[in-house]
Amino acid sequence: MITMSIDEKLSLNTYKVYKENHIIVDKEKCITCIDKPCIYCCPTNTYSWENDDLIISFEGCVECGTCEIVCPYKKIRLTYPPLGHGIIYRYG
Amino acid sequence: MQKEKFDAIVVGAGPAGTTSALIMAKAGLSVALLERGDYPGAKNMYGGAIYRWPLELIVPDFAEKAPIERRIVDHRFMILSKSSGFNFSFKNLSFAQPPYNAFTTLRAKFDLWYAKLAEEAGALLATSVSVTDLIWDGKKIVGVRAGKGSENELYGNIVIAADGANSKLAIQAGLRHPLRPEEVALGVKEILELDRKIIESRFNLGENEGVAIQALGVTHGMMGGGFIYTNKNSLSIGLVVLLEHLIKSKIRPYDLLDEFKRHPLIEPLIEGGEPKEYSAHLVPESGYYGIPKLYTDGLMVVGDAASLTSSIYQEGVNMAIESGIYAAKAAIKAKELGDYSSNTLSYYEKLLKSSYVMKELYQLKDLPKIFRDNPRLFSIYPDLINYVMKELFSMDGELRRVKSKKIIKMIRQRVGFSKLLLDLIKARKIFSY
Ligand SMILES: Cc1cc2nc3c(=O)[nH]c(=O)nc-3n(C[C@H](O)[C@H](O)[C@H](O)COP(=O)(O)OP(=O)(O)OC[C@H]3O[C@@H](n4cnc5c(N)ncnc54)[C@H](O)[C@@H]3O)c2cc1C
Ligand code: SF4
Ligand code: SF4
Repeated sequence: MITMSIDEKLSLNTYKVYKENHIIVDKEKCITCIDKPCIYCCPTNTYSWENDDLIISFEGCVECGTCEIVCPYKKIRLTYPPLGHGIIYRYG
Repeated sequence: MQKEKFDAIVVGAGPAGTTSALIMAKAGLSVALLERGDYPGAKNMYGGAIYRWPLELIVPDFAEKAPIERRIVDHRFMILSKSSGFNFSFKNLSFAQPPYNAFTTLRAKFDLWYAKLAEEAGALLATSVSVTDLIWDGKKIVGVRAGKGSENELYGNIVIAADGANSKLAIQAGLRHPLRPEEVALGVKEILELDRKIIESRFNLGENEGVAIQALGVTHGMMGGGFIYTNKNSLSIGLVVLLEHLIKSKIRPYDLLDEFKRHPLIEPLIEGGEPKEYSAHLVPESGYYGIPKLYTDGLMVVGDAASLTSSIYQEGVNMAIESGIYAAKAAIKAKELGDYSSNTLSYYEKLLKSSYVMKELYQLKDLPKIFRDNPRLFSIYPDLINYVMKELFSMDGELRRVKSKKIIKMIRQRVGFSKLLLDLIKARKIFSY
């Protein structure tokens, strides 16, 4: 199996998922944001656009910080899951 | 965490922070080393391989003690086009002998091992602690707040921000702006498990020997490239692309990685590899001009948090370690003087300025911009080189003289000779210091 879907890739990882979303998005600009780079730049496919709303599936996030930087309106704030939660790399 | 006071609080148990903590603890300072991961390394990923220097200055017997996967004896370069590759390698068997030049290691193991050394030296290592804020006393930084709701406060004479590429603390301290897409790249990677014997025969390696492969021409013209590193019984395969270019390309990073894995010259190298982990991390790409102010009253910034990386030679860990050494020295001096103001901490910058890190980054200072502004380097040149090679090596009854004309025509079409000349001059400038 040379290539896999992103969901299959994420399923390889170990996460200790925290109950609350650690990615804070002010969605005020999203509807008019033409390219929505958060969606295609995120390496874990955390963002998607459904029914005119930005959906955030934070469970697979690896806390890299890309989305914060690529959002043209600086509307994303990445906080870190507390108490050792989130991604736990076993190889790294 | 109670309301304790330390000589130094280090935020981030990566190579930079752990180095500082280790040296300060050895010198008798009271040190807290705070790490947000479940264990040191749990949040970290890289290529990768680590050069022996300057790690050997801190752990002279690292070769016996560190969780080394393989010693790099072979540095390979692959300049790829769609279905061909111009590949070369530098192999040096003396790299397989002590003191060994570079080695592959996995960060979840290496960072944990290294942080334990700091702990043994007397530093208090606290994991699962995520620092959210700095504590100020007027203009001076006097501690950090950690944990949900920021209920835990920790005080220290000095805070060392070793919180990595996406450093929030350096921003809060007013030393840098948030990273911009042209200053940073995203790396994605997979670990593929593979029998060690297969790795050794496939890559022509002896036991414990390893190879580092860099691949150009696999990023659709985006600044960046692919990599493969051999571990003991796994391969690390991934690629790095500048965020500015990723935004424009609209290609998803994991699709780009899969495309790289499917490249006809790459696929046979990873065949049979069983995927074990998928990871992503940022790496600063701004070089010398991206280095922020390095200190303020009560705080110093080290490693990736200070953008101390050099992408061309895949360096970062070594620079993180070296900067960690100097920050520790400045902290030790500050403790002796009882003065933690920026006046004393400027000693850190002074040491760093005459170090390998700064001198090297200064020499390569024009590189990030040249790379960023010349997509030719990442798509057209790899294609052209492969075209030239194909013409030179294919036998179809056509005279080499005729082939040369075709090559010249192709160069004219794809780049133009004036641009090619300019690029060659730039290349000369880079390597002729
Ligand atoms: C794809 C890729 C490939 C690379 N390849 C190589 C290579 O082959 N060789 C090489 O030498 N370098 C390589 N690098 C660069 C190298 O990984 C970095 O330069 C190096 O890890 C920097 O060390 P650091 O200690 O400064 O930061 P990091 O290693 O990032 O450590 C920062 C630490 O701080 C912790 N932290 C962050 N915020 C907080 C907080 N708020 N509270 C508590 N803890 C916090 C993190 O969890 C982490 O443990 C690569 C990087 C990437 C992304
Ligand atoms: S990039 Fe920013 S503004 Fe655009 S959709 Fe994403 S979060 Fe919203
Ligand atoms: S931090 Fe990285 S992995 Fe998490 S949502 Fe943002 S881009 Fe995706």
